[in-house]
Amino acid sequence: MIRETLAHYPYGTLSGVGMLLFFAVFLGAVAWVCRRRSGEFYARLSALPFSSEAETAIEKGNEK
Amino acid sequence: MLKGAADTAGLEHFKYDDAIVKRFVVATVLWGFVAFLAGVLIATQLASWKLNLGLPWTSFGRLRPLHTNAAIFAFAGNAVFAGIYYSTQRLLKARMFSDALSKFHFWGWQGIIVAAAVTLVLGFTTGKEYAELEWPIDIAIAVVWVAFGVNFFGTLVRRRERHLYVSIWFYIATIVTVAILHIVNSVSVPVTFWKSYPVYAGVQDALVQWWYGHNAVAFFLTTPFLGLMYYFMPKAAERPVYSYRLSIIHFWSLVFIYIWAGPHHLLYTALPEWAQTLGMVFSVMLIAPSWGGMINGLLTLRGAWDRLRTDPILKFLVAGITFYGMATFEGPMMSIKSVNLLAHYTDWIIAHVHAGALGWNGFITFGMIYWLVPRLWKTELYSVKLATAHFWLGFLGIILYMASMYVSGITQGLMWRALDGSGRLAYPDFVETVVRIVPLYWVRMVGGLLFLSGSVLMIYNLWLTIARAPKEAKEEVFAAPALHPLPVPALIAADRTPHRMLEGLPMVFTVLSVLAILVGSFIEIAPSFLAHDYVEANPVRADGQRRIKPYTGLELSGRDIYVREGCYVCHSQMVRPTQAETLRYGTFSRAEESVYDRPFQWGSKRTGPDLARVGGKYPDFWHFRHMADPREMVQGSIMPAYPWLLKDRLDLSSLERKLKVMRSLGVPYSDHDIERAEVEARAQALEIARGLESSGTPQGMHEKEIVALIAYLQRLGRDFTSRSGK
Repeated sequence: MIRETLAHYPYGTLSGVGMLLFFAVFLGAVAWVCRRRSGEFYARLSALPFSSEAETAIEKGNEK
Repeated sequence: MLKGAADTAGLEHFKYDDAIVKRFVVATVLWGFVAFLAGVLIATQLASWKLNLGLPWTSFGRLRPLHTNAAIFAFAGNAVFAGIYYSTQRLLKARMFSDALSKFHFWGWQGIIVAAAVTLVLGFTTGKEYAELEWPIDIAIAVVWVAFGVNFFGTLVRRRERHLYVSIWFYIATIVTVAILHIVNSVSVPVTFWKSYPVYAGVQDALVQWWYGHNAVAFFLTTPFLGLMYYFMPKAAERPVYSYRLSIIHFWSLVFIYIWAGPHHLLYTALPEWAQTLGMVFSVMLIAPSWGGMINGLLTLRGAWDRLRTDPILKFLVAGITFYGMATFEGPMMSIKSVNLLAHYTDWIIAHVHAGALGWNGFITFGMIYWLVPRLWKTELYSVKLATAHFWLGFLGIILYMASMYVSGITQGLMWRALDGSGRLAYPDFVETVVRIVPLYWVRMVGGLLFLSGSVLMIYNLWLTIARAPKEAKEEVFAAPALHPLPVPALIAADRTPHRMLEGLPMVFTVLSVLAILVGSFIEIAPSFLAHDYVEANPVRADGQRRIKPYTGLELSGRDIYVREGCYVCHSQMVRPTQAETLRYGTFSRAEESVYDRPFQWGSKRTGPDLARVGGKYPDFWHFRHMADPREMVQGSIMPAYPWLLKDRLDLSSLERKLKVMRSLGVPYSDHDIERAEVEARAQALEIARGLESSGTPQGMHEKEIVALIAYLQRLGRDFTSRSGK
């Protein structure tokens, strides 16, 4: 039964549908990430490595 | 100030645990030296076989896994942990969840490295590349890794920054995926404390192993280093990452696509064609996210390129990212079947691997360490000039290494396939192709030596930097408001877009990351578990016998010696279906031939010829003399001698147990086979030894390991060939 099913499975169609599905998800993700009015938010996130120390240190260690 | 105490303004005061970062930094530098030294040593052994010294624990087959494990898990591993512990605390504005778990992670990992170093040179190995460690160490790795994961996710829970910076996503993907890869690939049944057989066999073992092997590169040597790049590149360049949007696309497409690419290590093998094609297609697609990350890293330096002239840290980081770009362009190209046919099994692969390991992992690590050490020890770097000299030594070393290995690899590939006008092999003796490339092995050795010299400069520079540091450094205290968990509806209302919400829900984020990597894993591996339902693995011949017979006890013992000595490091057992290969080796390899092979021994490199059809090709005496001194039988051979195989006693004490374990895994040994395993093995050994003695070898060889190895080698391919012989 399994052998019969696999022997006649439409692999070409399956791979085509899979590729279209993955590509659609990818395009959706790109569109979603590039939404308007999100620039300010991303700018704040990209600054996280800098906010972590300079803005929060209240008691400095030895100066370099 | 109390850790985590809140003041009247509602700010919590805390300190970062930098002691753990210092420990991992020191371990990185020391293990890096060991890994590079071992690399130079084995590179020299390939140029001059005499440096194998005729000793078991200094032979290439045992030292090569030591080198790869030291480079990947000791050098790169400790570097990753140092970077993760430093950046995670600062990005989450929280001390690590547990200092005790941090210490357990550090000392546990160093213990694993030492155990690996000792067991690998003693010959305790599973024979699966980059997963050679035996089951007790595998369990230790799982325990330490889980401790690391608990510590990391505990810190996520206690964080004071709602959003997770892109580096944290890469760390999450690393931690969960490495755990899955390690556990799935390491499942085995122990025979003794230092010997086990994998539950997978043949094609399935190959598929699982290279799913693991490729994704060890992906999730141990790529995703954590990308996380480090996204943190340390902006810090060193003093400007934010070029595009945060691109980093989101980069992350999700990389983790989704990478996991599918493993089968490109098995092109033209007995792996089903559909899996090969799937691996090739996804490998080619992989260039897009990889280059997205590279571009994002390099363009972070926008407007500050002039600093490259004077800043060795930026030199290392930029060169490292550039090597990443080169390697991730080359990798997809090499995954195209026609290119792979030329490149696979050759030194081209070695060049490609070292562009990644030395260029990408090495240089990112060096840049990070030069940035970290002055900050951790609150001092200035002792010498910028020495750091710059380190960069140029390392850079020149990599160029020499890669150039020599490219020339060597393409020479090998072309010579192996070359046919003369009458359709015969132009270079029928494999050794002709070896002799031609030995000069390039010397050039490679010089390149490695330059890279090693650079690391010595770094050790000297860092030693003096730390020596000048203040003895009693005062720890910085930080303050940040506590983060109160928001219910999901509030989170949605606050953030509005799904990805922003995701970043506030680390556990959901983690689950989605796991799903992304499981899709490809499931589609590629699951069919191999169903294979017995639709593939007749071992057909019955007209005479009622199975075409493929299980190994005899002596052959199995010989196979274990073959694995112990790391023969698979230089010899493949997979004849590809091409004219040149079938002319050189015989009929191409089929899936059912390795149905009882645990572990599979298809190999990934041909420093010596393929051995899939070596059974019956030479008499026993040839193998005996060849193992004692390869140059007696093959002029110009660079293979080490194995004199201890002629002296060491053949140990059959665990043979019965081995056959029992094999039977539990599906190998059709009968009760009779198991009960008489040792007796039958000794009888077969005696028969081989009599033949050897009639050719003039010393008496008593039936008790030596060499007869078991000969029995195994003479068995290889015999189920599919009709050569007469023993």
